[in-house]
Amino acid sequence: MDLTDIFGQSLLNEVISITALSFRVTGLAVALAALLAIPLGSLLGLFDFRGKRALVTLINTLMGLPPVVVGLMLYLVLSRSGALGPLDLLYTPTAMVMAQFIMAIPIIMGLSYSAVSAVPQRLVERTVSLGATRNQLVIVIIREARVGILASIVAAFGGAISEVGAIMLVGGNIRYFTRALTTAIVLYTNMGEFGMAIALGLILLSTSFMINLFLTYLQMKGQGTRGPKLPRGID
Amino acid sequence: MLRLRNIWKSYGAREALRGISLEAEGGRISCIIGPNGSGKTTILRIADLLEAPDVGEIAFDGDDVLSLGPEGRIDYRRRMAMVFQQPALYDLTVYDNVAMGLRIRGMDKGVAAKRIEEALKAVNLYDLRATRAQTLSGGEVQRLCLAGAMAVEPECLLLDEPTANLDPANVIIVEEIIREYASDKKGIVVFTTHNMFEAKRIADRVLLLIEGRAIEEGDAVEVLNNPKEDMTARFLKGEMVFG
Repeated sequence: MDLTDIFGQSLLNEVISITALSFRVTGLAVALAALLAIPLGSLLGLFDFRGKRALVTLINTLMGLPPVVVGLMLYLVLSRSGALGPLDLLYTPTAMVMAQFIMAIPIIMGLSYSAVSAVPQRLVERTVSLGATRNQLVIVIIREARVGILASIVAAFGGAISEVGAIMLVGGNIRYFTRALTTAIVLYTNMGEFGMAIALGLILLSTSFMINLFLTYLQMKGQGTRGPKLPRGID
Repeated sequence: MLRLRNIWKSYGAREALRGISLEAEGGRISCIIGPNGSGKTTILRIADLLEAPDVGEIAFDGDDVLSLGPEGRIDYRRRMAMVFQQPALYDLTVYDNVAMGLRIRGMDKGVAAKRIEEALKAVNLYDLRATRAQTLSGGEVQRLCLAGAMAVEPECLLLDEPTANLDPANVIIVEEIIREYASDKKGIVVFTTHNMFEAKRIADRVLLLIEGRAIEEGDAVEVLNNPKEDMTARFLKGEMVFG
């Protein structure tokens, strides 16, 4: 028995289209967000400046940004009368990428900032003492923070792939065009097609598990398990 | 020659260093002794330009160090190597930790590999080269940091209590490395310790600091065997002394 027997050919095509779109949109959104937010978060951790505390507080607040609010704001911007209305992006995968990009930015930036800030001052001084230039020092610090930075990508990806409110509003859940796994699950549940909804849920869970497994492998590569260890033999 | 003159340093109301002067020349081991909190670490940090003195002069081979620009300071630091009392390790292997100083200097990989191998063998860590540095014991970490400092072949070695975490066998290894560096390579060594026996074993010159003040300075044998100052004599007897 293969997947065609379970779903039927046409349904299988739709499932593949939905799954592919979900990962394409989330992958692109998180990759773009990482390109922008990792350097910004790292700079925030590396340098002190006036207003830094307020900025960190703002980023921490935005890390819990409700997706539906992001969707609403972006909807208003992209709708005909909005600032980006002429671009005609509403109800397109591009709009979905934009929504997830906006949500991923503070997560990656905030966690990268924390990771860079956690690099011990003694290590910074040792590197300076070795004669590092400013650029070499920045590279060393970011490399020391790499586990935390990678964790920020894992967290952003997990949040974005499972998000439904924003992409529903700006994507519109259009079949074969903007229908993603989460929006399809909502649709099939509303239609009472629980079997299909559960099947899509399982696909979402298993594929995001595989991607997170890969990212976690990268995160822990060559480092064993990290963090504090409880002494053995103590109840 | 490394020369520090009339160095003053305060942290808020607390005066950490009060007009300290020090001359350290190649081929000789200069030791700063004193109890905890006497300013030993601060003077090494100032010599390595990790902190700026409030007042004072630093000269290296006759050049004024404190007037150097950013690039000059980097070049100066690359002629030095400092081993910290509380070492910090990179989240890398033992080998890569030793290699860091050479990579920062942009050294050719082949030359670097040879130096790293020699340095790791000298401190008995070669067999652990592929191990993550974070898994080493305190003593191994101390030796690892010394290997990292030796690998860059500095003109001046600044050692902040380099044997504090070591057992007697490892103390002998480290002291031998320091001696060889001074005698064979004619390098400048400035090291700190609160252990007067260690100072007697390896120092050529000694400076006793108490509460940021220089109490006595001179030839190690003279100062440690026939101190001129009463405070030095009391410190050497193990008494609690205050400036």
